[in-house]
Amino acid sequence: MSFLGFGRVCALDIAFDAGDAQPMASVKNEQATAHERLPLFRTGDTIKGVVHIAPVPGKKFEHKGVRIELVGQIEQYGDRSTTDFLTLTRDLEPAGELATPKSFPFEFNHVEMLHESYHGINVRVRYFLRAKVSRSYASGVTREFKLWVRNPVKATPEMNNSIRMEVGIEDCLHIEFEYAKAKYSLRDVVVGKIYFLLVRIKIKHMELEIRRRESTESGSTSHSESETIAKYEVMDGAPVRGESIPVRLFLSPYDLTPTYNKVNNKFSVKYFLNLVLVDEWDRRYFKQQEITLYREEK
Amino acid sequence: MEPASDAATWLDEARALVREHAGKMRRAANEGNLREALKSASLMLGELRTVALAPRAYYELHVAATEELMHLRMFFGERERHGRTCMELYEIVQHAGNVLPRLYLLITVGVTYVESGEGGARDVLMDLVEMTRGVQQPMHGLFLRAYLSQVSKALLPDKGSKYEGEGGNIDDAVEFLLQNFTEMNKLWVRMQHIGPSSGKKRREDERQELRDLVGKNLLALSQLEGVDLKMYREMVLPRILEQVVNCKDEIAQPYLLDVLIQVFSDEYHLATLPEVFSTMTMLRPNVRVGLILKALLGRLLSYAEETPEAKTEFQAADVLTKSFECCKSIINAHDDIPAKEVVGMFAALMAFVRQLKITEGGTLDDILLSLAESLESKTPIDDPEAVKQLAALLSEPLETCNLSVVLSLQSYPKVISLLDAKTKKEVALGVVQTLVKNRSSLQSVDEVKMLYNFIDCVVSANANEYQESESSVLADEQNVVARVVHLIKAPEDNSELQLEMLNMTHDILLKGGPQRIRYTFPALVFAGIACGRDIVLAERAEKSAAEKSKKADDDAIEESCDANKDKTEDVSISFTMPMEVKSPWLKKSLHLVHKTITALTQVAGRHEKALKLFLEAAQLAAVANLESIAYEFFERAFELYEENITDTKKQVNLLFVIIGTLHKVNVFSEESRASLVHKTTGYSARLLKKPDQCVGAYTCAHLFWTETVKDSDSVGACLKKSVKIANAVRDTFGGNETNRIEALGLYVGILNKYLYFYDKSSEGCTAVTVEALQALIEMINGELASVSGVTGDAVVALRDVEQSYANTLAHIRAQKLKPEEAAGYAAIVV
Repeated sequence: MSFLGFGRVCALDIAFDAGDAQPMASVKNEQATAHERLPLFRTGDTIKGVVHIAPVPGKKFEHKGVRIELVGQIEQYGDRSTTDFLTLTRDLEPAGELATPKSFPFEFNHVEMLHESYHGINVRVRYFLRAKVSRSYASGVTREFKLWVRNPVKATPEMNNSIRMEVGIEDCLHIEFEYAKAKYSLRDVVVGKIYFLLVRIKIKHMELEIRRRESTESGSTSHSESETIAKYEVMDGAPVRGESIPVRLFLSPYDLTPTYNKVNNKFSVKYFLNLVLVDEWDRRYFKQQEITLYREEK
Repeated sequence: MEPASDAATWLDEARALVREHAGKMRRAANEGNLREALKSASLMLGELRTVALAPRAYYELHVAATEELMHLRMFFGERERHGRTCMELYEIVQHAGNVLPRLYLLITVGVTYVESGEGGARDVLMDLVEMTRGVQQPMHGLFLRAYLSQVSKALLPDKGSKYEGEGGNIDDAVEFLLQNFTEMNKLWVRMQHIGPSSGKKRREDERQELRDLVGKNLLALSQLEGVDLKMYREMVLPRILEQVVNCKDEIAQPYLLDVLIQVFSDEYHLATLPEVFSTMTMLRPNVRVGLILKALLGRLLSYAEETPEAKTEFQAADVLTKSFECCKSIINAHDDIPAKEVVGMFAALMAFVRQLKITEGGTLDDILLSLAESLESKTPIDDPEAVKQLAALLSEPLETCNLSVVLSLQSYPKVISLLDAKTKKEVALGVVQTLVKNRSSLQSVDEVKMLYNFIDCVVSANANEYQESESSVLADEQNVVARVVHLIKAPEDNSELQLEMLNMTHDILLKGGPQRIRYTFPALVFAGIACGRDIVLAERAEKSAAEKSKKADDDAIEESCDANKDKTEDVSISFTMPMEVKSPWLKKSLHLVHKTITALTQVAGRHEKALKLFLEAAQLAAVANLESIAYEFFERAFELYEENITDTKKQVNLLFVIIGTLHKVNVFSEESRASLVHKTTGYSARLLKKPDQCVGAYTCAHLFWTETVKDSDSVGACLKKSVKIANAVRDTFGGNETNRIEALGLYVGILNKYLYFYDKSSEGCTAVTVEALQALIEMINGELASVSGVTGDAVVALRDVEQSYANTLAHIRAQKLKPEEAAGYAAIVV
């Protein structure tokens, strides 16, 4: 892809000092059509690199200055609002003239990037570096470089009780389920057991779903939307009273994020384990339990 | 579309899909593409999620898919090609979304996991057996677990296995198999309860087809090296039995117990009988416990046959008592247990008793008594199978035990009384037939009494039990009963005892009424006569021992007694020389005989038989020189002849019998004899038909020429009379052809008598002269010549006469050639 657009006077590019050692993340693009590899950072990281400016060969141009910005932004699709929660600027060059390619080192020291990058249904959190060459009479040259931010936590949660619950429909179905933990790292395994205390319906199968609920708030209105991230059959056929069915669900294959609570007071993302029993007439009986997901330090 | 072809289409489609996915899976594996291989494998295994197939079709699909999994397993084993550790693989396959394919894959990886040494056998196997709980659809689960137990067989950390050690030991192997067994059995039982109640029979059939999937777990348990008796008793058996009881299933319970009995060793069974027995009492009412008990006992029996010390072991383990207790508690536990089941169990017990050669009456009595009690509430037993078994069971002790032991069984008649009337009889007759077959003998009054008590149902009379049409049945039955009489045999020729037994028999049989004694009493009479004869023979033996020098007269007409072969050479009964018999029992036996025959004379249609019996009895009295008694018997016989025999043919036949007897007997004073002979000749003369009279007359001639009586004149008179009657026959109706041929026959007969008495000339008989003989021959020749132009039946009659005459003449010619006879026959011209 050529960045030498029509009328452009120069090409802009960025290189991180870490070079090949720069951690990368493979993430789905906004349209969820493909994966892209983005440089990966976490809060407190120093983002350090070089901006390369290459004028069109043989031509020199004047500019009003070269700058680089680090932007953290929340986009809400619902009201098409954009909120920048982070804007850091470094001036790299005062106004002048450029005839030959030149590199400008930059550094954002220990940047606080509290919110993780996130692509949701109605909201996204994005980080990018914006390099800008300003000109007085013509449009400046600007280019954005996407970053990806993940913030693993160092300590495992201190309180991590099991989830245990007895549910049922009177004289029809009574089950007790137990998941070993309420909080899971993203590479964790959900281990549990379902006890059937009373079965009077003809169950065909049982599955465990991971559901994500994204709630957004803009002004006074709030909006929630859920999606099923995973569907995992845990039982085939109808159990009888007294059976206990083991559950072991690996989280790693799924595209999960940590649980987010009121990110910048704009949105929350919550995860639920949904146990679904399907009977012979495809009626669904379910019980949803929230779990907390966290990103664990590798 | 027909349901059957529907299912067939299903199967075909599913198999095609399995093939297709399997092909992709193999290609991916060959390329080392793990992801694709797993994806295709999941799709292939997804076909097993169907619920549309019957067990047989599903089995085919299962086999097709699991065979393909072999390729995948090999691929898993080649780490350099997929680049993953087994642990990683073990996780990756669990990402599959559907539980059934996931578990097939997990099991497949699990095998590699253990084989590679990366995972301990215990951990992996236990995890697999736990995770498979996720499949609760019975058929899916059964086949999945069957796959698990099939591929895990070589991985069990059994004693001596390479997987034994840190990765697990025999306890784990046992635990794994027991868990898998338990779960499979639950699934198998559950199949019964799925779907509408109308498909019950079909489901039962389907389950029977699948049962070996469950049973194989027990087989695998029995094949573990590390399971010793202690472990079997403490770990394995209790868990199996618990499952047997708890599943409360009528198909599973007998099947599992049967497998248990068949796969584990006899020593184990012997050591754990109480546990197994107590389980048997806890089964569902409809389970045929008897068959199971029978199988177990059968197993122990074959063990006993192979192992010499088994009998001691059995006694040490108190097997019989325990089995018996088990039997009783089973019956107590199930009120509605069917009769045939009860009988089956007891039959098994009895077979055991027989095999262990337990012949003491006490045990048998206990068993049978218990049987009788258990069946009491279920009478009459009408299940044909039960009846058959019961009958077989009752004949068992007769085969194996001493008769006296059997007869002492108080329980025996009680068991018989459980049966319905018809079967009761069959069994009773079976008892008698067995006794006869075994040549058993009844040796005491008690035995006699008990045997008749046993077979009371065929001995005593019941009101109107037989219709006329059934008379042949009755005859067959009573002929069998009659045989009992011949089994009575007092030891050491104790005549007093013998008579006591016979008298009792008389009293017992008499109760049977006329329709029975008509068959049974003749036998009794013969038994009485035989008894008397034995007494005579015994005394004779004593006498001949005393005067050894003097041998019994060989000329006497002899009757030998088979019973005493060694004595027959010296001892025989002589009619010529009646002997005094000292034994008082002879008269008693004659008294019995008399009383018995008299009773028989009251029975319609038995007069002829009675008459003959009287004559038999008379002979016995005669040899013992009991003239008045012999005379009485003759008198009674004559009385019957005069009053009750009306049929002409019978009259003729009986007359010959009378003549024959009277000829032999040589005990009467001249006066008595004359009186008897007079009556006899009188009967002859009063015969209805002339030819009969003729024959009667010349037969009577014998009465005047016996060992002691030599009366040529009377012989001559008889013969002349017969000729006269023959002449009269010839001349009847003007002497037509038929009559002349008949007369010719008579003449030839007379000629034979002539020859007989002519031969007696040497003894001084003058009744027949050469001239008379010659004259008779001439006359026959003349008559023969005059008979001509015969037609029809007469031709045959004539030919017979000619033949018989020719034979006679041939005899005469032959005599002429004999040097010692030539003198007498020389003068006869033929």
